[in-house]
Amino acid sequence: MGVARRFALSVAAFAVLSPVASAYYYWMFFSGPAGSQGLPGRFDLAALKDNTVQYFISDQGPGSLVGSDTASAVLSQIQQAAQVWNNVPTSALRLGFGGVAPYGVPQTAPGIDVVFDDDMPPGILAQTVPTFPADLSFLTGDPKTLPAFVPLLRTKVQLRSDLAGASQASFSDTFFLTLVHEFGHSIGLQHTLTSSVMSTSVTRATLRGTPLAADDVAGISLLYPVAGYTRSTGSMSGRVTLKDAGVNLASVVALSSNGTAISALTNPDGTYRMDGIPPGSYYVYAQPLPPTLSGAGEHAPANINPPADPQGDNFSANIGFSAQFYPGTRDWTKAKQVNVAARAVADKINFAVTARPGAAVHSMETFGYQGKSPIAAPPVAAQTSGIPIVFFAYGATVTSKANDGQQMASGLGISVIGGAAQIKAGSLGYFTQGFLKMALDTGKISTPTPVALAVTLDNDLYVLPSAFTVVPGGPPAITSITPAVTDQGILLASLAGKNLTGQTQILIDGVPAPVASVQTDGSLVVAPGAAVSGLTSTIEAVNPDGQSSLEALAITPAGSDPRALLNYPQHDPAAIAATPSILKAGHDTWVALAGTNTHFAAGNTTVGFGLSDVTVRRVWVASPTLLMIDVSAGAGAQIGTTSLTVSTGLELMTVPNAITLAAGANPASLQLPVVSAVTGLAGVNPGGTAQIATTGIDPKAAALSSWQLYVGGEKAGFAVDANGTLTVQIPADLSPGPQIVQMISPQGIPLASVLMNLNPPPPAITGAFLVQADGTLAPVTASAPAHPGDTLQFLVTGLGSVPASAVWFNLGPIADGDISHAGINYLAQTILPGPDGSGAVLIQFQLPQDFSLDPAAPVQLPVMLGTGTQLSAAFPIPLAAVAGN
Amino acid sequence: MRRRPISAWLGSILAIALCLGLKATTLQRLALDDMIQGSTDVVRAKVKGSTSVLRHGDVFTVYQLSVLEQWKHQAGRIAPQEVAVPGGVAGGVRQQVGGAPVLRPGQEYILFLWQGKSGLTQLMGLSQGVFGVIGERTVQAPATDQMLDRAGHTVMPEALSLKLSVLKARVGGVY
Repeated sequence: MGVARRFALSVAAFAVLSPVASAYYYWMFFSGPAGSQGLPGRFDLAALKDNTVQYFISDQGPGSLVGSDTASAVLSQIQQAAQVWNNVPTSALRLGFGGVAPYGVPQTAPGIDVVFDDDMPPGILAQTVPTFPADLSFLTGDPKTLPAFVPLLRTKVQLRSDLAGASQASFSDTFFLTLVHEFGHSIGLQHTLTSSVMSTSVTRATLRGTPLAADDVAGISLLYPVAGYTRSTGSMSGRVTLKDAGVNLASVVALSSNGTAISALTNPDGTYRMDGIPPGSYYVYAQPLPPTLSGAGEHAPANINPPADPQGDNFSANIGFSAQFYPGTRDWTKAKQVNVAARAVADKINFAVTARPGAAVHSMETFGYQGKSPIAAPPVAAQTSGIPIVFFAYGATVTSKANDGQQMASGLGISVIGGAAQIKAGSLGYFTQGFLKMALDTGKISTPTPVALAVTLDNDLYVLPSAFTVVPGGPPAITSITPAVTDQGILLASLAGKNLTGQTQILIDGVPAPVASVQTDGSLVVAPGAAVSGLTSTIEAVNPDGQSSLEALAITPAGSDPRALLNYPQHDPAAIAATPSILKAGHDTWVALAGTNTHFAAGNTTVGFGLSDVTVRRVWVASPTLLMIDVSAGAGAQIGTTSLTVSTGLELMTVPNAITLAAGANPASLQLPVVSAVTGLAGVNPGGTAQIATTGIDPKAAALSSWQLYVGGEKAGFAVDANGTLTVQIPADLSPGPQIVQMISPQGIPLASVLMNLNPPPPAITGAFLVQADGTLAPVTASAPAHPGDTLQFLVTGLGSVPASAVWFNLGPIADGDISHAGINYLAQTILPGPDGSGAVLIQFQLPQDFSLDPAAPVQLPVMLGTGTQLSAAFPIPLAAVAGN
Repeated sequence: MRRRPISAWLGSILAIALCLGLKATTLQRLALDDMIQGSTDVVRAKVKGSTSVLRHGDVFTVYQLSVLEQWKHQAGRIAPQEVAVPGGVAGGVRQQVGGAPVLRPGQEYILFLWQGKSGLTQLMGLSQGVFGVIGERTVQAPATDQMLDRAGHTVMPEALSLKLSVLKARVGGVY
């Protein structure tokens, strides 16, 4: 076995064994005293259908609202905030809108409840409450058999019913980011100190257009990793000690000069392990949590619930030490950068900290401005001199002067980490009311760059990641809206303003509206989509750098309303009816939803039944007024009635008591989803082979010989295995789309039928090219093979119109064995036009680095391209080890 | 490269000081007078013990109080004998609420209480409604999260330490 292969196998083993316990910070439970094993709390994906936890919005909606705000907009922003976490491709967890429903109905499956409830004392605006099992005795069992996590049973996100407060307007970026933050809590994340969306509001610095920071992505991805996630990232480990004793809940942060910050909190014994770090070089620092000033009521520093032992007792944070960069310096210019490689651990990154009674500086807030509007953690323009920044930090940053005034504390020093900006010489000083000021000179940047500040005072250090972000230009603005209705009755809106481009995303009450065209005068024409009759909605423009047209709204002087508003036309009220309207507990079935005056749209319509025990598995949009859906009703579903909610853009309908849940009398049923026997995906080619799980059916062939199975009305042959899984030959002459699968017993009794998806012909890879250093393409051939890490472009036909984010590559096994890329979806990078007139496209993709190749024997690597439920045939490419490896 | 005149610089940052930017928060800073006026009861009490209850799916830790003085009360209503704090273990589940205070048995407190429509007596603003009694003084532990005032302006929490007699007079004066 070669060295490279042994290394590859060892890191593969590491990837399997690596714990997630101390990366990022979760609701943590320890099996015993300091040094014992820690388990994070999270949802059990095995208890969820399709890895999707449903969230439900209370039918007791918001009461008082800000000015012209609407309940519809509030509900829309909630859905968009949940969607933010669905956009993390390296997280396996998905959040699905389960509808509008009463709160408190007993349910067995996990879920998230969003409620509007003023039964919170004054002084609390919102709170998220996770529910775990009371009995944690399993934590004290054999360490070798401990589960990987403590199951999160349910969470409640409680907002006030009275949303008339200044920061509660649905159209403010502040409100949206608060919702994203609360949803983060609801799926298992606690606070972090990296200015990410999961930071406390003191230092949160993400933007509407880029709501998640790298730490948020790492946090959710490590808690719910997709296959292969840890293979593309690296790790760091070490210990924080104070006089040789472990420091509990020290914040250890890896900070790159491009602003990426990943963090972990130390375990009760001071050890830490930080996973999910993008490969690169990092400054690393250890910093105490912000102090809690002692008093009567106890609550945790940074409002982080400290880890608990099986008795529920907490390990409290040690915040009595001075921060430092690795290796043991408060001067970041003298810090040693730590290199992090994919699938490797940079270990022994230790910190021996010194005691001090509390941080000299902490919880710093920075403000810039647009016009007269101050913005926290502001975007600042690149290549600009003298940009004013004011800031406040807790601690002794300001001292009193003899003449009853104030001045900046002597010895206070601030520096910018990295080269994206500098503090203008002589600009740092006292401003007013406890605030300090400075001016920035910014450099040239190619992408938005978050910038960290290092503050030194009184032999202490404080680091604030993302104190501001250097961006290429100003925020977008919308100055006028001109609505129009086409001859086909489609509403369009022409938007004029500043910094609007074809890449600008237009949101209407948070719902993305596709840009139909960019006019020669720079204005955008968008298609707003469906909405309830006569709705007045807020239009917001968001640019790829994260800036939005409403980012300064929260502090706009009272009385002014700079929002761009769109008035939807009046139309007759929409209605919907379900057939059948009775679901049986423990059974899967399909349901037709017929709408009146509805505007169902593929990919934009969701359906929910208000119960986490009832799951909509798939929605097919047959027409703007007809949906076909597959539904699973869990065996534990409460018998009775439930609501039906259908949401299309801003058109949301809820029908109370629309569905009856009945006990399932027939034990036999077909189980969703119907998958391809070849790909395992929930789509089958006509003429292909499908697999359908069943319950309650005697798998003996003799017993099944008299059963009949129909797909799309045609009789289909099938076999059954010992587990009751049917292997079905799908008729070749059926059309792509949903087809009904029906099974009839020998007594002529039909089981509940389900829908399966028949795929159109799959895309095909017809060529592979290496992207050379000068950007030109060279065919991949036996004499010019691809190498691990190469960037390739594949010529693909039959893909249709899909974004790059919906396309992935699978890599097949290599003849002489590899470290297994099976089950890993490698996302496409870009989709480019193919040769003129060919109808083909070029899809760019970077090969992973981690192949175990014999340098003397190039191999054929099967490459498959997937999208939706389709997977192409394998296209083999020659692959060789990089010379010298 | 763009250069901003220094006069505009100063004028703009003054605007910032007068109108601080808002950021999301879960807590709203309550001034002492707000707590006095917004509370339904203010009591000086010693914590006797606690139990946990499951109430409509929500777990509360209910502290039993031995009320020593009632500084504010609603007409015709006796002093609350317990206060519910969200979070705890009951009914087979465990719930955790960040920022919820833990009251110590045997410890004496000034508690700003609020009874909502559900009839449950809770603390004003979680930890904001708790003042520990240390000798003849009271000390409030501020929240570590950023808070907003009623106008939505950023408020920097500070430890509030008052003589018992001063706090009592303040409650009486406002109430």
